[in-house]
Amino acid sequence: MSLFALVGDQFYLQGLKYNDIKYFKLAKKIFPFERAILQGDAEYYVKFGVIDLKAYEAIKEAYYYDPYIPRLLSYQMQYAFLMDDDNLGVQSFHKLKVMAPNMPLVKELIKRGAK
Amino acid sequence: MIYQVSPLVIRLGAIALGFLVATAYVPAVIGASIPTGYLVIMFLVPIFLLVSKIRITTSHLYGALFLFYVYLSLCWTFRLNIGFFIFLQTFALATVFCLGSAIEDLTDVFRGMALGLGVSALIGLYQLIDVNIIYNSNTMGYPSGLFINHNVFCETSIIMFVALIVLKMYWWVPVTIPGIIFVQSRAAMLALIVSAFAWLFNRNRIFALLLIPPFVLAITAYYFNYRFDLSSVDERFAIWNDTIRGLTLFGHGVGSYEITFPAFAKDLDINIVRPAQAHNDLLQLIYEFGIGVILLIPLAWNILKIKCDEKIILYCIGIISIFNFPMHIPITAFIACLVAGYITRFDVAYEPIRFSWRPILFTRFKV
Repeated sequence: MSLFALVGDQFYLQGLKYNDIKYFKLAKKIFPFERAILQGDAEYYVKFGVIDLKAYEAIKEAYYYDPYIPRLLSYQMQYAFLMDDDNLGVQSFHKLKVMAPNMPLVKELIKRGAK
Repeated sequence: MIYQVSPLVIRLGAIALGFLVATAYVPAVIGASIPTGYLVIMFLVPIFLLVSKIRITTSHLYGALFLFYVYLSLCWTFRLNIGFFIFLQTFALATVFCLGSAIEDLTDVFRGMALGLGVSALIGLYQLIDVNIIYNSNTMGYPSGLFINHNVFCETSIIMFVALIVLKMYWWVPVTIPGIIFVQSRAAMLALIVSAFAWLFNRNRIFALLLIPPFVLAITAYYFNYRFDLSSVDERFAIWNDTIRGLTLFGHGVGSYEITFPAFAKDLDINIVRPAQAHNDLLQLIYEFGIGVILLIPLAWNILKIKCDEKIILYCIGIISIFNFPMHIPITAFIACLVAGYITRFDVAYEPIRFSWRPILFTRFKV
């Protein structure tokens, strides 16, 4: 177990160093027991603005492991709308309104008429 | 089964274990998101247990009961896989406790740890002159050695300082000095003072008590003259308040603090600071395990009732754990469990107790 943890952590480190998604994915596959490693790929997708189904799934998973963080919820909302998953987008928006009413994104959406 | 190994190999192994626990985490080289010190403990300590004979005491049984509760809490922890890894870390610390109760002498492990701390001290001295060989999270110029956080460096140095004095390993004390002199973490300094008081109290009670009033006066005068920054104290109170808000009867389960804490955060702005620990080990234990923490009371009582100087090391860690999280830092948690285990050697072994209940019970039946 400690060997897997060490190797997984090393891949995560390589991912951070070289900004390569394959390392993050490998790390997650080898050692899916640590929050930062589990969210590594989602952070990568957000950082580089990758918008596709894989990124969407990764962000949903990252949110699953950290459901009380407004930042992740806002990513999930934005990706849901971008991927035409309006149900999840609206659901996320309502949660975000309660969780972080002062978030600039929430304020802007409300200003634009979102309910 | 116990394997026979030459004492020299065991001694060298103990030094290597101490050294590796102290130096295993080299930020951005070995280790990014996982404290590698725990991995060393998980990997090496069980090997040591194969060649050691553990004398089971009641403390071991209470510890095992608590560990079982921690295991059960996996059933209701927030995310099982994350909880499982923290459970393994807790299990690793339990093996360190067993190792502590099995080894004859603590000095070899501490020799290794002092060597490891020496490496950190050296890196810390380089960091002081702005040569950052290793990543340092502090931007104020405080050295942090291999610990990233300067406060952790200072706390470890002070715990090691106390341990080396208690174990009479005076030649190794200089390795702890850079961490103490150049950082001066307040919690760690308080721990040092309390440890010194406990040491003195064991030798001359009246003199120790007489020292309290002038000391309190000196601290008060220092505060009013220099007004040291108390903003971090406010932050601690905010974290504790929010943590208390989230307490439940059976706790949130092992490894759930970091994930579930933001749900209760009202006093602390979670968008600015995201604590992974409660900065109070007891509070975090209650948060994660609820009434399960009761199982630790007899264990703590068993250890604290024994009269020995090694207990001072635990007092030192205990004071730090009020304001920080030494039980989550591999090296300090390792020292705490090792010393606690070592102290149990002065406790009554479990065997006589197991066989003494019979006559007591039968006597009662007769009556």
